[in-house]
Amino acid sequence: MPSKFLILALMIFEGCSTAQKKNTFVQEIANIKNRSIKSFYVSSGDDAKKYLEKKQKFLNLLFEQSKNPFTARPRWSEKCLAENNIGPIKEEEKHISMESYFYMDYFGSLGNCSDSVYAGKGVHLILYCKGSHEILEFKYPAEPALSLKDYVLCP
Amino acid sequence: MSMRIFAIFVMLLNSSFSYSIELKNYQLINGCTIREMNGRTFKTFPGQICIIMENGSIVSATDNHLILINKKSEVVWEIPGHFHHQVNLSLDGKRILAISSELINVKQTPIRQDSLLIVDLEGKILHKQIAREILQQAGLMGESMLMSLTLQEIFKVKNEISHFNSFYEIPKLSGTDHPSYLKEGNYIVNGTGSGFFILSSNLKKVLHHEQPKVSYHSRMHDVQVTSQGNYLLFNNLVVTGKGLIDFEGKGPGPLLLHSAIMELKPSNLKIVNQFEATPKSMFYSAFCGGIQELDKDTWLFSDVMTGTYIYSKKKKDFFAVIPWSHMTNDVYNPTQQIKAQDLSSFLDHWK
Repeated sequence: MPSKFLILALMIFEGCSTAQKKNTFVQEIANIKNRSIKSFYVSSGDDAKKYLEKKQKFLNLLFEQSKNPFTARPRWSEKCLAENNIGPIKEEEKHISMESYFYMDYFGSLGNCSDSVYAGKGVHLILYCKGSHEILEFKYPAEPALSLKDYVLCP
Repeated sequence: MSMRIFAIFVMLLNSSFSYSIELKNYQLINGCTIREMNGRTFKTFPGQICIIMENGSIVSATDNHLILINKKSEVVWEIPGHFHHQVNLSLDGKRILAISSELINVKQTPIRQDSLLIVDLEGKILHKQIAREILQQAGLMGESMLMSLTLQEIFKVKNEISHFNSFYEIPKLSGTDHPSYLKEGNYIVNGTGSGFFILSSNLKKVLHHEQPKVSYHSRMHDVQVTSQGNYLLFNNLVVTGKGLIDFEGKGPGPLLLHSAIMELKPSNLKIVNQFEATPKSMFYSAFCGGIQELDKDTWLFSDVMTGTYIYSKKKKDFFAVIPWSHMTNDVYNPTQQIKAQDLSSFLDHWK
């Protein structure tokens, strides 16, 4: 019984110490060489939600399939559509976010496919910390992978 | 000796000045993709063909719809339909000129025809005209043409009565010696096989029709009226020479063809300026082509497959050849047209 208590105490201690070790995401992303961070003013949480919905709609429109009106050639190959993934909007206790994976060029421009020599797979994260007046938009390489769970997104 | 050095210096200076062109902040537009002047992709926007506006808005057209997206990435309005070839802005920047498609029944057979739309920036259709009316007014019988297999697949019909491919407003013209139909605010629309038409400002009347003989089968693209009052066009099919054997009843016989950029005087359709390659067959784009007058001396033109060219009429030489303008994901793609535009104001909204 005492040993069980000890293990539990150790687990709690380990858990707490891990939580203390967590960097904020903004701190971590600042260390990445090739990344872009933009911020936009929003007046409220509702405004932030609208911004995210609008952004999601635009991204869906960007990758909307259409045919060249005369050659019938598809605007996007099926492979390209499959490798550009628009994330869902997630609302959590402290934040609202949308994490997407796109092939992007060196300027962070979207609308690329893996066939392009000048594009690599990147993460596009839009983050709103509740109570703030700022939306942060991050673009960074998908490799090495950063798991958002390992970081404090909104301190 | 010093005079010779001075003369060489003046020659060099003169040559560099005459080759300079003010393209600062210009970028290329290929469909809905903005490219650097070296052809590299810079930004991609939704759609197949786009108008990029200074206020940050984009008019985007596909085979499904025509939409206006504002600088906040919001779709402001949508007009459903099949839109093709090009969308242009009126000269005052307040109206959109679009070419659409619709099916009509001729002798109980469904046939594709073009329709021209003038739309305001709120998405209201101000004027509309259909190809059948234009062809009838011009005295053309409106006989149907067999469509390409891909078009047949899209529309599930075999024939079309028109194949419009460019639609522009006529600008303010310098000088006074112009035919009365070439008036600011009228429109010029071109169709493969039918030649080009000058339409009144409400699109209702065909004021003039031309099928210049310099174009075989009236295969032209991107026909415009310059501010000097000349027709500027991409002539896809110019006859270089005739083959030896002609089989009667099987068309005009085997022809040698090339393409050219041409500026024609409206009064007599004489060529005022042109670009042809040497040898002529070296420039050949049978199905597509775009032409833009950048300034009095300079043309920017693009063919279907190989690239974009910036050409000095005075020097009869190129400022630049940009093959990458046609590359997407490292593959050369058939391209309807490339245009250049100062996008500094637009891009301020999309940083």
